Amino acid sequence: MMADSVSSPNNKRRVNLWAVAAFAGVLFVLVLIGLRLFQNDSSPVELGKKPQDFTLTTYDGDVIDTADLRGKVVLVNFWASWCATCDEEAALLEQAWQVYQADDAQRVIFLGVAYMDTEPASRAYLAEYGVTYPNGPDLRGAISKRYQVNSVPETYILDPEGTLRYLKIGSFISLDEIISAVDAVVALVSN
Amino acid sequence: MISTFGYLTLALAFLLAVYGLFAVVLGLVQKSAAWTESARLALLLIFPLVTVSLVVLTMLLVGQRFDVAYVYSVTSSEMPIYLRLTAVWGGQSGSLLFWSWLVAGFSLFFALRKWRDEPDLLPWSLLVVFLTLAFFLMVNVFMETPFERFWHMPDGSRVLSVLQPVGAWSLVPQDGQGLNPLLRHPGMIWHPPTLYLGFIGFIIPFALAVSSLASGRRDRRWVDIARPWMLIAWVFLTLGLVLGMRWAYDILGWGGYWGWDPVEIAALLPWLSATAWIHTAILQRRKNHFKRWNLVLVILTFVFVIFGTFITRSGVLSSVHAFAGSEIGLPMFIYTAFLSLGSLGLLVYRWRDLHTDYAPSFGFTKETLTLFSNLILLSILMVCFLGVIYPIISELLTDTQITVGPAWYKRITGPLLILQLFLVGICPLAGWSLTNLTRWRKHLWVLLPISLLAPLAAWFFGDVRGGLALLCMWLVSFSVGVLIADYLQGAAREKGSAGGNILSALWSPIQRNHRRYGGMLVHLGIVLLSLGIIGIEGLQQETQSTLSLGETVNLGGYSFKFEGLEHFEEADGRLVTEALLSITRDGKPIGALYPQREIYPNMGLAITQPGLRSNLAVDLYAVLIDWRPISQDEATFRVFINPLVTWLWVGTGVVTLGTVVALLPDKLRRK
Repeated sequence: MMADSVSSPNNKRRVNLWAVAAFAGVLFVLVLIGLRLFQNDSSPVELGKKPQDFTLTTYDGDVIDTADLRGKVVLVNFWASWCATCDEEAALLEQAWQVYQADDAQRVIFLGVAYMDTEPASRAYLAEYGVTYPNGPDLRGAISKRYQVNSVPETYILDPEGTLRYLKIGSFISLDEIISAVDAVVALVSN
Repeated sequence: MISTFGYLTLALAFLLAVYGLFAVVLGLVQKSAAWTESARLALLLIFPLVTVSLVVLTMLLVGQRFDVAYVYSVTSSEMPIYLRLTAVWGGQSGSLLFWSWLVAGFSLFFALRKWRDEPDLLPWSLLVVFLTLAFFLMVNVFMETPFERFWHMPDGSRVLSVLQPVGAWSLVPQDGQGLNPLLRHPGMIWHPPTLYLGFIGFIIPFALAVSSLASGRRDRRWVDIARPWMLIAWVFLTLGLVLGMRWAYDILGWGGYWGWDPVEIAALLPWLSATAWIHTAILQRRKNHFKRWNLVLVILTFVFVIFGTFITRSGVLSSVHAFAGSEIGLPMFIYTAFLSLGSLGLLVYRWRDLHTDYAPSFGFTKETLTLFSNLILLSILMVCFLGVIYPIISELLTDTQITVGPAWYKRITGPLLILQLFLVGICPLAGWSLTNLTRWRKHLWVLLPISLLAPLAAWFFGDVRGGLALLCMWLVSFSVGVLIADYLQGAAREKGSAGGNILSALWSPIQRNHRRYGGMLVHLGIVLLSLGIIGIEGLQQETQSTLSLGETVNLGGYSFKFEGLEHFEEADGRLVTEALLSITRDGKPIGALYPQREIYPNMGLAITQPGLRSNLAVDLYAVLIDWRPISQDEATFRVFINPLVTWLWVGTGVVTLGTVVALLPDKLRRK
């Protein structure tokens, strides 16, 4: 088989502008992707780390930014009206909310995020279970993306610094379980 | 334990890949054919070893061994056996093992060739193959292994390990978590494997290109050897992409098949550059032009494959296709960087040696059309690539990930695709040298008016009024006419020699030049496929309506009547809500649609299953959006009329057939 090989690359290789541009282009893209890779938010949500803050527009029209809730223990619950195991938990969460509402110091706030749900169904669900703490839709999946939620219910409790101190995949089975989880975070802060 | 056995064979395969890498480097340094041959033999052993490992994983999945973490995370006891089998590629570590197995498989075919006629292409090609194999097997052995099991430690903690830790005892969960409901679809059987086959198939052309560059050759031999590999990879990637479209169309319920998701686009990038290569490779084979360009294209193709794999598996971009974030981001990033910078460096180093005195001569020739076609494909590629990395740039600059929407892609790529369709249509009219169209003059007088019938029919009978849609329909009918006429001309020329036998005459053009007519068949497939795209992009109608029982919504001459809602539980625990929409046209009943909403209570997930009724002319498609949970006599539907979508699937079949014809052995050629 014919194979005309190049004997040796002795001929002068001047720096070619095109080559420089090509290298610069590839490096630029690599640096971009590299920077993105090392940013925190692609890492799993872990205890002891701070998940990204988010803004929740509630069904009442209020806008709540978790960055403004520093100083409070924040419980974030992801739920859906179609979720079979969320309903019992919704009633329990509401009872727990009433307990912390009675506390004059208002050290704890609950936020409900409706995951992959339609608004009429979500509203009907909240009305059915008498939920009064702030709830809103997960617009464009932005909040569930931050918390890497793939199923519901899931609950996250953040300390007053915004650090994740507790997470639960699946539903709470008793009021005590919720109270002890929240109280544990409150106690952690007090200590 | 069988899972340990699976892991050990995988580890052995990794060690062999490392050995092969050293052997091939030694062979290159010492110019020793013996070391290279030893590396080639090592490559032959890797495939059986990875096969054993894959078989073990399959057995664990089918046998519901929930003590194995991977089996636990992607299967559950109620899943049918076909889904347990497809769970091999349902999660990160399993799909990586499947990926390694395919790389090993392609490498085996590559290594089976003796390479006596091209000894200098072998060592560098082996180097590329071993690097890739060693990398993916390393990830599989050390970072993402599907063979880890759950263990109870004496202190009460739970650990994951392949081997039994001291004092630990096995933890066997009662049931697994199950496969993500979106993946529970027959599409799961074919879409990922075909896509992977396409992706990985490009490794051989890439290895040959690197090898040709590194060994300092300037001939086109690598193109000749790479061509069938490229075509095989290209057709599998085409099939993989279209099967993914079908899956999205059937299950995601937004009425379309292509959502311009970053990962979809990442899979389209190598397809675009490979398509460009397939065309310019013909020019290199015929005229020895485009030496550099073909190398650039094939390198781009494989770099895009690895880039796509990296962004899917590293969690860099959000997508319905993305795997959950894992630890493999950094090694994949290093590998992608090494591959792209290394190939670019090699290309720059050899650039001057590959110089040809080529000045493009513009005229109505296949060469000019190929050039323009390449320009269009590369423009689409640039647009898509910018769209993929834009969210990353935006996030770095503004701290918010802004994804470029479908409208942006459509606005830019739409006109380019129409132009490409035009080039496909007129391609058979051009020759390799300047043609004066004499051969075509009398045919064009017939073809042009006949091709106008399609848009006219669409105007009068289909009520199509969009100028762009009508133009596209004319282009499609004209292209189909030209391609058929071209084939019939070829057959007519052979009719005499075929002794008047029509079937022999029809077969004879393929026998005479199967590459050309295979290519034409692929073009016919692409034209038919574009009918489906025109149907969705230009002619789709949709409406959303909340209907009480017995109410009707009208769209595009069809009436959809809400007849009822039914709730039932499937054997696998799914809670299904199914609506019945009866369809009438001009008062005559023509069938019904059954859109569903499925809830997976164990996983807390819900998915939609559109109701679909399709024929060659139109798809009627309905999605159940919502229903009143208490009274159940009211439900909201989104209804779509998707004309011509079936041609997308038909066209893909023709593309596949055409590629098979183009790949037929050359000895078929009649003397």
